[in-house]
Amino acid sequence: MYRQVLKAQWLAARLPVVLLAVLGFALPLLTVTFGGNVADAPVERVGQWLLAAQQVGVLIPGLALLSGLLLGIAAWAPDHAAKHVYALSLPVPRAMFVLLRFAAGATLLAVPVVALGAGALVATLAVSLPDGVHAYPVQLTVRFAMASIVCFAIFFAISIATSRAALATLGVICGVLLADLVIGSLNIKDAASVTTTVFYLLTTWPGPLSILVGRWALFDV
Amino acid sequence: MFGQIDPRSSIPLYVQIADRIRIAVATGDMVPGGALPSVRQLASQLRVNPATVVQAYRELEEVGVVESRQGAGTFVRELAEPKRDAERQRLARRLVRQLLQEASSLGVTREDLEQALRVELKVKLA
Amino acid sequence: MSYAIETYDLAYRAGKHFEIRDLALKVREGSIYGFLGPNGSGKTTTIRLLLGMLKPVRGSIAVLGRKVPAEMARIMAQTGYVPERPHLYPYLTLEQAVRYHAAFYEGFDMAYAGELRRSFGLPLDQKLSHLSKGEMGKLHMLLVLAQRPKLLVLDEPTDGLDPVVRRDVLSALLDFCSQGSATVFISSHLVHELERICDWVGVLDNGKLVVELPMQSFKNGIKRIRLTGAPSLVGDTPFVVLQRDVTGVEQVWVVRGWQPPMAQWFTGVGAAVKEVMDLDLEEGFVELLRASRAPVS
Repeated sequence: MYRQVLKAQWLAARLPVVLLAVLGFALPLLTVTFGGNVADAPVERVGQWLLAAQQVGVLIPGLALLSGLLLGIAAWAPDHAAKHVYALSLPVPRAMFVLLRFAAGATLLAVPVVALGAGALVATLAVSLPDGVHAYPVQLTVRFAMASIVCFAIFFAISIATSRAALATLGVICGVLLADLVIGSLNIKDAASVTTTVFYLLTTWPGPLSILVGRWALFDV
Repeated sequence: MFGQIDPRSSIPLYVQIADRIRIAVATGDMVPGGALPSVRQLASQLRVNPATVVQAYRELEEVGVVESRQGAGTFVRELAEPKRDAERQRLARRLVRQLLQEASSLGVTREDLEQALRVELKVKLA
Repeated sequence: MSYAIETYDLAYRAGKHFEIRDLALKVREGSIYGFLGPNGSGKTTTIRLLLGMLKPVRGSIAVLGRKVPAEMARIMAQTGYVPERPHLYPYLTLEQAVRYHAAFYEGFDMAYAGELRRSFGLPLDQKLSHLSKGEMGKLHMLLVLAQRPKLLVLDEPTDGLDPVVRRDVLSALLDFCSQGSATVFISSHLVHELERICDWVGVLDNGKLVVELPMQSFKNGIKRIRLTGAPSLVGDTPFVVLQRDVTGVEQVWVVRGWQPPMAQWFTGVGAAVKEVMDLDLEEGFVELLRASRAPVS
């Protein structure tokens, strides 16, 4: 069963997976092309190069977000088209089928993760690092994997819902933004922005999106 | 042989099927000892409920036209010559009865029928 | 007597009005049950309720002896369902679609599926989105038959198909039925098609089950009677009067549940029966619906 669900999901998501894999492989390499040979460069030069590496690094959680989004949508798009009739008529409890789809999507996520890992390794080997600077290809890849899974889980959950639930989610987000606008316009002293608070909660441990923030550089001190 | 059986006719489907087989046996199209198509085959071919075919075969068995052999299927019974003649005559009477029934429901009179018979039979003989 | 499908006091509402009311279906195991009704009568809704896709307002449903929706997965393991509208994944090829489907059913017969594919003339490597309507119809039938299910629930399986395809699909269905004791629940508004293959018929109109009878009784029991001398007011009749045309000397009554001895009733009220005419299923169906919508005077 899992094999067939995986196959079906792959056939539906072939294009996005390949695209994400290409991006995954390319991003770490971009870090290298920005700098050139820095092995014997002066400290300021190395500093500039590390900064550039960090800036490129910011794109990596972006890629995790994109991977999660594309694969999350692809997981349910075929079923949505026919209003889930096929899936609901199969002799599998709904929860089991959801699990199968999740497992298949997570397996497909491995492709961009592996691609990123490969790209990071190539980038590391291609560069001779100055003293005090280290490469973190493994940590980067693992972090990317975890971030991708988290994003995938979120978009998977949103994507499975009926259009009503998806609209409700969107409505809540709009409501929060609106609340902020109102609070802001009322000019209440020391009032915290709702958006900022929510953002803070989500992105600081143990918030689910905490994995996305921070430094994402391949090369660092 | 089975041509178009008519589900819309007032004659039940199983009777129509049984009749066709009886006609085939009486005219010699189906020989004694010959096998009837399996229930599965006939139901699929005619696109009727298999139970209908079973009923037709059972009816034929009851009147002694066919016999079913365990595991082998249904076969035409060996009928003696006079029995086959009687069968044909019975069928002829049945056909005429049907004709008369239909004629009456269509408003065709006895005279019309006789005229038509004369014309048709003459054509046949000629 | 065991029933493959049994509902009791089933009701469903979508919006303001009740779509299904007091539905008490009884589908005998091994029968080919035709679920007849005009478009919009609630056939598809009923089927969705039976398969646990909709939640009823009240009532109980049992399919293959198990409760819906509690034991849905076990029920669906032995049920082949062909919905009204295509529901398979259009980007799969035929072969991929068959393999996908097969993975979910333990007793899936790949050899039988191959046989059917060849006899239907379906191409293996064609994407489902490129299949014609007829080919799609055949594929649906192929998938459910190869499951070798105990119950087949078919929602207008031949609707929109040309006569040749319809013939092929029905032949395959009946061939399967002859091999075992599967129950078939087939909904359609194509009365003549059901007439040849069904041994039971249930008529749905406006969400209510108007009759549920063996096909033969239904067909035989509806008659058009020409008579004279009947009184204008009648009390209890041994049959159900669907329609009466009392203008003119000769009256025409359409009745249900007729049996030949009932002619005596007419002589009893001083009437003379001129003729008892058979109605085919389509005519009977129309008369039945007409009567159920406008109670006879």
